[in-house]
Amino acid sequence: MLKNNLITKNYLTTIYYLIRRDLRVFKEEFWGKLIDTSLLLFTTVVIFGYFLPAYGLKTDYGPFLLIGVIAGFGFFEVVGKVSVMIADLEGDRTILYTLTLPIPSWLVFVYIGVSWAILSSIMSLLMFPLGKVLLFSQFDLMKINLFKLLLIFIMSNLFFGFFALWLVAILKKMSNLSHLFVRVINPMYSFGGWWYSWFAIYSISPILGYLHLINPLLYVMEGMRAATLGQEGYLPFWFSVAGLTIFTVGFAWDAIRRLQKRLDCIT
Amino acid sequence: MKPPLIKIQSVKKIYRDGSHEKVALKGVSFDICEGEILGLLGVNGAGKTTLSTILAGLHPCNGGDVFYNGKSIYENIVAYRKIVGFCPQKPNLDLSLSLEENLIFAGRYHLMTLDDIRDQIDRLMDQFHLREYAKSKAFVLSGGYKQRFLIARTLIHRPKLIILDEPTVGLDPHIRHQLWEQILDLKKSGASVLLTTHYLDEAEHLSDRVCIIDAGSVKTIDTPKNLMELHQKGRLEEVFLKLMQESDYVEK
Repeated sequence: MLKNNLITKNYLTTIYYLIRRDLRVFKEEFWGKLIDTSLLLFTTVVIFGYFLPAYGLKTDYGPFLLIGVIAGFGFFEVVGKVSVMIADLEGDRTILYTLTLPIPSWLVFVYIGVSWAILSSIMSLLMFPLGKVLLFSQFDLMKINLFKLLLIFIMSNLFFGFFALWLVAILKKMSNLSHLFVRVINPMYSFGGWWYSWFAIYSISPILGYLHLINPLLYVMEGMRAATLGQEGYLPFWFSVAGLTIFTVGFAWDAIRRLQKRLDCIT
Repeated sequence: MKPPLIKIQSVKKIYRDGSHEKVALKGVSFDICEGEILGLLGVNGAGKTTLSTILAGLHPCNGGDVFYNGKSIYENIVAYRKIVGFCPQKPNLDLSLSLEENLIFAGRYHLMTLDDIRDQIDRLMDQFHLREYAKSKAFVLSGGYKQRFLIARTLIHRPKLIILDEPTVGLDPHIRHQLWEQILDLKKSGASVLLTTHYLDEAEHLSDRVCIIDAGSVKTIDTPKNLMELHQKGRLEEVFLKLMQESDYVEK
């Protein structure tokens, strides 16, 4: 028992320093990323919070999309992460250094997923105050359930991390990457509750509503909105958490299995 | 001869790509002794890098076993990785971090204390003449310095087995010779070194023994001196060429 605890502590220590290394590298890119993310948020919020309501769009669409941008930020980061890792696998294979460290190979892939989740959540988190400044009275902070927000925020970013890892596992070559945005990212966010809620599409067609449930991004959007804008009008919060958990575990398991095989790891 | 540190026993490796199969190692057996430099030689595709990565605990073998301290390394691969330092062919440094940061993190991954890491950094910076670059980012280093630093990072956790996969490939002759001295220093520190190389002068100069691999099998293993005497040749390169010609003849 004591020996097992020590081993677990050792593994966690190694992973802690691997993540600290990633954060140190991230520090170098922080300001550039902050500017990019702020611009993305600014354009979306200003257009949907101020310009389009002048043409009759509901005024609460601004906060609705603000949460979509914050929730989906990690999703847009996926393309960059996937391309960097595929380039590495096709080139220098720096990941092999990590795979020679004293931790099991499956834990190396768990670390990568978690590390990506942490990095994307840092940027998303910073978007909350900026969103409040931009939308001001339109974005009511009193509706936020902090516990639920924290939970769905962590779950969402973990999902993005492991989903990116899964894409790395299934995309074998850099040349396949050119299709990623058009064939995967764009349809997933377009039909993932970014522009409309699940109840909105369900009211148009129940069949379409049920079909949307196979898109994991829907649970991110619905869960985040339920936690920040109030439960009314969105899928039940715990249903979204459960859906997201199933997808995250599924993608993580399959990504680890595929990458272990692809990199010929000792299992 | 000193006692063996690692026993490699009938190690086989097969790469499968769909229905296509390539046998990279056909049952390789030999020992790596404590405190020796063992040169691993062979033509391209002979199985040198495959064997190196298996010994580094990176990839599994499909048959046979590797023993450390009388136990299969696969019984506790994580514990085995602690005693191995693997320096790959392609530099895999964190280029955006300084050399010092690279070494601190490398030490931390191996659960070393900060004081211990600082001591090691001090020693390695002097040993590899890297002190003036300690605070520089790794991307500013030239090829030779990068390779030196890669070896330094491999040594941070004081491994008992150091695997150097073509450490001097593509380097200028004078840098190669400087690295040779540093590789000989590793032996003096008591570590065992598995040196994979294409340069036969390098193997002859550095190795206590050389193991020549051909098409996934061990062709011969002995000291360079014994091999040259046995084959009545003045240089290891001539022995190697003779053996390769013989194997070409056998294959034809």
